[in-house]
Amino acid sequence: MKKIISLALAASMMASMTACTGTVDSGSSTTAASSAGAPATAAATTATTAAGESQSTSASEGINGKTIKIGVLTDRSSAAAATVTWAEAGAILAMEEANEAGGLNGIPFELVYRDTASDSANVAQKATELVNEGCIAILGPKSDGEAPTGSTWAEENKFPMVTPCTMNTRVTVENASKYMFSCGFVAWPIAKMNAKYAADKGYKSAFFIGNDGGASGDSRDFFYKELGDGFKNLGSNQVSSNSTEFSTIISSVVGKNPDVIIGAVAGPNFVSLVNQGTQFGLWDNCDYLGWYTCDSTNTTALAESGNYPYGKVHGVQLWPFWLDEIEGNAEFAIKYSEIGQKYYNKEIGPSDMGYTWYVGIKAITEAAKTTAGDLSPEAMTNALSTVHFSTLYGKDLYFRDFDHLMAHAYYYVTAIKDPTNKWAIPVGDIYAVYQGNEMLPTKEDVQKYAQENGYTFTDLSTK
Amino acid sequence: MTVSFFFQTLISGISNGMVSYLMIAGVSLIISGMSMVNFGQGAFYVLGTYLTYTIAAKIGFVPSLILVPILVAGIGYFVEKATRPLFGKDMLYIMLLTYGVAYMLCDIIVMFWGYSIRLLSLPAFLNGGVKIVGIKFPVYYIFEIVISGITAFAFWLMINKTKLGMLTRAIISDRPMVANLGVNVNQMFSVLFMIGIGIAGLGGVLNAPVTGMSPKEGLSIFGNVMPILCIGGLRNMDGCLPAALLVGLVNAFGAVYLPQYYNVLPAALMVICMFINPKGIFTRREGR
Repeated sequence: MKKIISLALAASMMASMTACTGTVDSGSSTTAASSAGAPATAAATTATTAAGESQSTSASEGINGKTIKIGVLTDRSSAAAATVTWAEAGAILAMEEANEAGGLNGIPFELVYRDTASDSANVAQKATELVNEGCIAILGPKSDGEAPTGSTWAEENKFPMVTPCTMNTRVTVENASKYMFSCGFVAWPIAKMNAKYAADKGYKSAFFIGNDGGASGDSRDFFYKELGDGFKNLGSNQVSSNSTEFSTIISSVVGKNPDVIIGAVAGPNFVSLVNQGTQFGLWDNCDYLGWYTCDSTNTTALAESGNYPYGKVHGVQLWPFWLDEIEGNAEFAIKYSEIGQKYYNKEIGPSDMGYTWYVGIKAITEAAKTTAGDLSPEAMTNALSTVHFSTLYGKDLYFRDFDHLMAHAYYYVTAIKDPTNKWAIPVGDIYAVYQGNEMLPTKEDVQKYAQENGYTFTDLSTK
Repeated sequence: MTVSFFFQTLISGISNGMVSYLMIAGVSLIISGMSMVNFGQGAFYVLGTYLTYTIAAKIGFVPSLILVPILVAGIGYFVEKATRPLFGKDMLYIMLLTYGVAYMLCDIIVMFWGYSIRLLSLPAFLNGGVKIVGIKFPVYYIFEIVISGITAFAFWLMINKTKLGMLTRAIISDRPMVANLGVNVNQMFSVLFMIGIGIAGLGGVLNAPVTGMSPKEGLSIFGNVMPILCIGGLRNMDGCLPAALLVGLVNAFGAVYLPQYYNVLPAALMVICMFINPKGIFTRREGR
């Protein structure tokens, strides 16, 4: 009996290790460079470390079997790993597009993953491993809780890092580095846009519920700062990013009767908060302001269970996937969905998280094309500082010189049920479209903020 | 605080505590009865949730409340068998083994269900709210309180009024003596372990329509309820329910009065309680 159980456990462990390594969902190999456009290609291969981590994701091999490696700090181990399929699919899509366009002088790009489990304690080790793997730059870390550590590591190691997390002043002011770039949301403009919406709609009071990352605090503090003393702050709850039990918080909020909830949660946090809010009738009396508003990572489960409070959730969206008037929009969503099927054997819908990862890899691959073959960390950092490129949803995207924030086009929307029934997830009813620099803080704003809070402002354009 | 708001906070605290109780009762039973800490409990809880997503879609939610805990308990049987060779050895080995089992279970969940956030639709009769002293309260949370209460009562009945319970209490006091009486202690361990795991599975079922669960939460969720275990007393099964209710109420009223410290309240309460009595505030002090 003992032998049988030992064998069964050993088999389970092997299967489990397989899940940790080459696959993200159900047996498909992880990210691979597409063979298209690469002069010489080979079958996908996946190496595995003793720890069971994906050491080098599969890649089509280019000239002389070479690939150009881009590191990815991902999360396949924490509660937030629930969103990893959507995120990584965006990165893969950008890589496939770059390789279909011929890679870099015929050499395809390859993504190499390391799992930090959204824990900042793992960032330095995993990032260093990626450097030792020969990566030219790193996409990551995934969460805003890890970003300050990532920025510190990038500065110490003088290695370029592009993070898709929601950027905040804990990085741009407190831990600024010329080697750290942000391709994701930025909490400060989100707070400004939410504040503008709240003011326009005549809301008078708010309660804040967020996780423990830096973006969370920024999205609350700048919101209230924008609205001034006349706006009533009814309180604030910051929960762990692993928290999924909100009933006691919601119960307390119902009693305070705010006009809006300022939300700074995503993934399991968001789904649980919104679902339990629906069960408690919270959305009967107040609205939700946040971001990732129509993101399928957040909305799919809620829409399927019939508990999405359509018309009550408002916020910022980067990928307006429902807009047919944007040429190529439908095809882009299909390609993204196909990545989910191809690599993860999973149906995935459009996702802002996926889009920011897409933009991050696109920035790195586009930057690599401008270095005249010099892919050293310093050359890549300089290239990222000056790279300009476009996506379907943002023309002339670039990293701002003084803080390395990306100036996205922001769509402020109310999440509604799709009137055409094309999408099973909520789509956006657009309230306003802002160009990045309209809402991102100016250099003077950042200088003033740093001065008021006792920090030294670092102008990255002078470093 | 108005009377209605007070009652709503009270009920949400009780509901929160009762759900936590389902998570921790099994751990307490296993620690008390078998002298082993099962770090895999959280993974079994999450497994219960994921099994419910699939099974409830086929047979409905209410039958899942019975079937899923049985299935989870069945898996627990094999885990208990795997721990057998480690009985009597350093507790650390069993802790490591069960933690390893938790990792494997979470990855197996990923293999079958993938990385995604899921929610179960509530059956119509559990949807909606009821007015309690003027404030709407979800029917489902009342249902959770009732099911947890029934489980707690059944658990108490089993421990205090059945032969199995009598033997369990005897094992806690003097295991070799029970073995010398001819009782098959190993078989009893299997039963205790399966009950402990099955209760976690039941908690997972009840959780399925409430939280957007992630497969890897099985590794972290155990930590969320550890304060309850310490407050109630590691080896005091009777302390679980009052400790869970205490933590639930502290969470609920803490969310109202100390929202900025919400995250640390259970841990702070645990530290205070351990200063008062390291064996748990609901455990009788020796010599009394």
